[in-house]
Parts: sequence; C-alpha cells; structure tokens
Amino acid sequence: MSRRDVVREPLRGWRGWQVVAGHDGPALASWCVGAVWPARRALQARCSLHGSRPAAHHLCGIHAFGDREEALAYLDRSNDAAPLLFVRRPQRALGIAIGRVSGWGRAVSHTRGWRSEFAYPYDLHLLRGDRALAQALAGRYAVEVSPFPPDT
Amino acid sequence: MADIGRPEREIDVRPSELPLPRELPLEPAAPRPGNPSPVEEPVPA
Repeated sequence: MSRRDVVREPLRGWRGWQVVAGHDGPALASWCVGAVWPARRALQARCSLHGSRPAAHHLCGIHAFGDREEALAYLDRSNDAAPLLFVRRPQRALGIAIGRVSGWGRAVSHTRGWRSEFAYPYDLHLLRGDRALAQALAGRYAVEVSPFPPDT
Repeated sequence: MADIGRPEREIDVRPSELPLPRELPLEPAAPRPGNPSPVEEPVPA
C-alpha cells in the first residue's frame, strides 16, 4: 500500500453518534471515544502516534462503514457491550443518531468502510430523540435531520 | 472500535469543494463602487 491514489470526490459512509448536551445545545459525539463533533467545521482525527493522518496499519482516523446495515448492526452490538467500552454511556445520551458522513484528507479504504483525516456529517436520522432534538441538531450542524430512523 | 474490515489502500481525498455547510452571510454585502445601492431612495411626495 505504498502508492496513494488521489480521489476528487469526498468519501461517503455511514456511522452512528450519541447526542450529548454541549455548551450551546445538543451536540454529536462519537459512539465510543467521546469526541464531540464541531458544528460547521470539520472534525480532524487525532492520534498520539500518527497525528491526524490515519496510518494503514493502525486503527486511527475517523471511521465510517460503507453500508447502513453494518452501521446499524454495530450500534446494536456495542450498545450492549461492557460499560468500559464507552467514554459516554449511550443510555445517558440525549439521543442516538445514525447517518451519512463525508470524509476527506488522507484516508485508508477498508473492505467494509474507510478511515479519514477529516469528516463532517452529511445527513442524520434519529434512532432515539424527538422532533425538537432533530430541529436543534439541524440548526447547529446545518444538515438535514430526520426525527425518524432511515427507511429499511 | 468499529470493525470496518481489513485495510485495502491509502487514498488522498481532495474534493474541489469541501463537504461543509455554507454559512449564510449575516449582513448584506456592501455595494461595490459604481454599482447602484440596493436600498431604494425615498421618493419625494
């Protein structure tokens, strides 16, 4: 994997978020690691070994699944996992969201998804939460937010 | 950590436009010299 291809379109994948209480209202937080996603600017990956650029042989970078069903299954599986897995417990979150995410910068493609250096939500569906929460998230992140799960 | 399978290749994703929301301007842009002002002049009665 020494040669790096250049891609001109952002990557698009699926992932889940916890919705947590931020300083200025509800905010998206990564499912396990607890990183709060900034509004209207990109989240940049951070690794103590590799900086922001995901290394091919490591787990760093911002993760996304290629497929919605895989993302849903992952949330389902890890929701019941050991409490230590989570920085923030999903049970205490204001809501749970799933949606498409754009990724760019340096990235590593995987057989079932990708890891990128930068990412921003593309659209969101609430798996848990109401219309008011959807509206607040839409206003904060300036993306479409449905108060309903995605069509299956 | 999400299991996204095994790594395949490294890529450099350089979109021509970043997939970030566009901010709406808070104030209307000031008229440029030579362009008419968008504000209508009061019409004398």
